[in-house]
Amino acid sequence: MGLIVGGFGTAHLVMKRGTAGEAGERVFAGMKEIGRRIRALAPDRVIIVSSDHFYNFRIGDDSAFSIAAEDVHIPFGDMHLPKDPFVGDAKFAGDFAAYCSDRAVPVCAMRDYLPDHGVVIPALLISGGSPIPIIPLITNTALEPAPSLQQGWELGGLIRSFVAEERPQDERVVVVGTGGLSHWLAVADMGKVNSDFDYRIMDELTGAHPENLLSMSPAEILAEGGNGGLEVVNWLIMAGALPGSPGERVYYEAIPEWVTGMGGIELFNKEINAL
Amino acid sequence: MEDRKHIHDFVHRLWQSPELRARFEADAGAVLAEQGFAEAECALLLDGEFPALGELGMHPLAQMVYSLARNPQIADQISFGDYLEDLE
Ligand SMILES: [Fe+2]
Repeated sequence: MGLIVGGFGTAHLVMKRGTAGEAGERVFAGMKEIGRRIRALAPDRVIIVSSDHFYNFRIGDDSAFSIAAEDVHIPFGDMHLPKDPFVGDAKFAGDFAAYCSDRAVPVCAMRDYLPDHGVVIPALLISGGSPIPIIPLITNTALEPAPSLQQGWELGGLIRSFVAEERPQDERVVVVGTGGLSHWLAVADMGKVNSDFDYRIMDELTGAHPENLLSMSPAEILAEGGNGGLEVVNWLIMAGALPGSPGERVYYEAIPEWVTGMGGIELFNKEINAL
Repeated sequence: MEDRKHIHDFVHRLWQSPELRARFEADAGAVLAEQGFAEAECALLLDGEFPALGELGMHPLAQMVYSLARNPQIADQISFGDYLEDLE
């Protein structure tokens, strides 16, 4: 059986360098620190959970969760990101989609998915030159209603059991939930940041109390965290793969210039730490 | 959102096709005229600001990518380019 050796939540972009002063640099430093911590866990596979930003999906697409079943990913190339291919694992992704559908949770196995910044920036921060296979798990936050935190949590549980039941002995898997935290995109409140919401998400997750978040409906998240805050479901997928595991905050800055509350956390697998 | 399908399809194509985007940057009016939009829709698309796109019924995520295509100077502001040399 494989093992989820660590989980992280992190913002998945930074905007043009210098446009948010020292706070922006602290966010980038925090994101690099998360990359370092992931490499230190020596993972064999990394699942990066992100949303699609209308770069692949279309408005009206109705699958909540998809996974990129490719051995090589070709980036979309947004945000002046390099289009250098990076390694995936089509079998891992395809087997996971099948595992989920056997359990009545639809996860679409995608071909020809072009990872956007939400996957590519975390992948660049993790890789450190060594090609750890990356498996992008993509949520559809444009769906109405958006995937709920409860659904995300349950999907995370399936990652955990899939890795335990179906993956090779001693395989080490890290799950990274990306995006958020509060931000309002292309709506009247654009520019607002709700730090109370952001701290609530980070504190409940690092305090090993994700259950306190599960009753939040997509409508409540929209009100408190904005339409960009719907990406918190990505963090709950990560947390669901590491139930009961406490953690710590790695960075947080409310950055109005980047219209976003930007945070990062690590969860420590309680099973490993109990050994 | 279903009645906005023709608009979302256009934004999707615009974002996917570098050629279409380059032509759109050079002459947005001409590209929009080819698409068969109603006059009022064309005016809102040419305006390109979020309130206009919202009035059009465009989904916020589609608004984000459309506004990047309409205003390349905004796309320059959300670049990761300057961080690439600083990766580990
Ligand atoms: Fe995002």
